[in-house]
This record gives sequence, C-alpha cells and structure tokens, in this order.
Amino acid sequence: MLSTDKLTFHITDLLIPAVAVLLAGVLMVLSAVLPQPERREAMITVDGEVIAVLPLETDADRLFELSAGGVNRVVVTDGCVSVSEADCATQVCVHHRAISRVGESIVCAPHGLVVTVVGGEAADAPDLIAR
Amino acid sequence: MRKMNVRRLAMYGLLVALAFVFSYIEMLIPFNIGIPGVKLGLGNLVVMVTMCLLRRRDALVVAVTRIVLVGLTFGSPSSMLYALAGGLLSFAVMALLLPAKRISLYGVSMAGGLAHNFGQLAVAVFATQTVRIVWYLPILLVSGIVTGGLIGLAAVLIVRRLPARVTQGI
Repeated sequence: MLSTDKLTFHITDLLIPAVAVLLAGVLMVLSAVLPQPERREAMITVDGEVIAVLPLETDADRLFELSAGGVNRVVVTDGCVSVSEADCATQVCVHHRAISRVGESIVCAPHGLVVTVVGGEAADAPDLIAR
Repeated sequence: MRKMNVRRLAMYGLLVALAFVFSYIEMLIPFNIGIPGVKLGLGNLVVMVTMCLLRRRDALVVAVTRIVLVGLTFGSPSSMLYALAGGLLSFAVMALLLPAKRISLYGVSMAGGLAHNFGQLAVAVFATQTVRIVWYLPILLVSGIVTGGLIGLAAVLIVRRLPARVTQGI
C-alpha cells in the first residue's frame, strides 16, 4: 500500500515541470540552430491549394486577388516574406512579422490564405510516388 | 503453470473496463480546445490508481490492454501507434518516479502527462520527417502540466478514499 507521503503535494514536485520546460527549451533551440536549407521558398495556398511559390532569394511583390473575394499582398524582401496588405477585418496576417525559416507560416484566416516557408530542394524534388 | 490470483484477474477486468469507459467518455466530451493532442487523460487516471493500489506491472497490463482495445474499437493502426508511444513512455516515467522520495502523486502524474505528450510528438516528428512540429512543444508542455496536475489531484482523492480491503489478497 502507498505511504501517505505520496498523497500530499511537495515543493519538489515542481522539479518535474521545471525539467520538462528545460528539455523542451533545449529541443526548440536545437531545432532553431539546425542548418536551414540554402534555397527556400514561400508557398502560398488558399484553402489548401497551392496558388503560388516564390523563391526567397529574389525580392518580389505580388498582389493576390482571390477568386472567393479578398486581396492579399505578399512581399519578399531580404530573404523574408510577409503579408503587407489585406482587405480582411482582422489584419492578423499584416501584423505578423516577416518569416524566413522553414516551417514558419503566416495565416490569413478570413481568406483561407496561408504563406509557408518550405525548403527549396524538397520543393524541387519529384514527389515520392514519381520516384 | 502458476495459478493466477482470481481476485487479481477480476480486478484487471474491472480496471480495464473502467479505463476503456473513461477513454470513451473523453471522446464524447472533448476537453480539447481545438488543438489536437490536448486531452485530459482520464485513461491515465486508472493506470495511476492501479500503480498505487497494486504492483507497477499490473498498471502496465491495464495501460497496454486499454490502448489496444480503444485502438481496435475507435481508432486506426496509426492512432494506436501514437497512443502506444505516449502510453508506454508515460508508464515508464511514472513507474520510475513512483518510488522516488519527495515526489508525490502530483509530480508523478505531471511527469506522466508530459511524457505522454513528448512521446506523441516524437512519433509525429518521426512519421512526418519534419522538425517544424517542435514549435508545438510549448502547447503540449502546458497541457501536460495542467492535465497531469488535475489527474494527480483526482488520483490522490481516489486513493485516499478507497478502503484497504479493495486490494486485500491481491
């Protein structure tokens, strides 16, 4: 049978979340320092369908007029991509900072538009079925 | 063959059934706040209480049986794999921490919840071959601590109230 000592909270119990936070921190730092692929692209999708892919090494300024209504301006400068203009009510995507690391994304929920940074090599490679 | 203790066998049946029903209830009343993977972990409550009342290996029996049964009934092979990764890692961590001095059931439960989430995330990273999901860690971290703490509280209340005769002769 269990000792009653197990049934009362100890201050040392807090060591467990502390260790977990530390571990998670290390993992996140590791994933952030991991080398990024040289060629990266901004993949722009609307409701899951890819409508454009912009390489991050060349500056660009594209205005997307969505067929379902709505306008988003996507800008690539200095290897970073951001949404500079949108005619949605929330403006969350416009206020989002510019992104450049693989896996980062900016979401414009009202328009269903998502900008995601993907590794260029992976995007160039033929898909798995073709291989 | 060594004869199986009948009371233990009956207890296994009860505990597995309870864990199974808890998993089902959890599906009916989604605690999740739109974030996949965040759940209360009621099934783990049964595993924790088993660990306290019986032996640790009994808790392993309950944990694995529950996951296989729930997977076969409601899930898919992949969902079972995720559940197993989370469940086994969580069991291992809790079994290691239970005898530790100065760590109460609250700590054990939080460790279990966290280990469960880490296990599932590890499978997700492995399955999708992307590390980008590690940005999901803070959410899983907070949810592991909160749900683990709540389950720990429930386990403490249950273990306090269960009379000793429940486990007599097991």
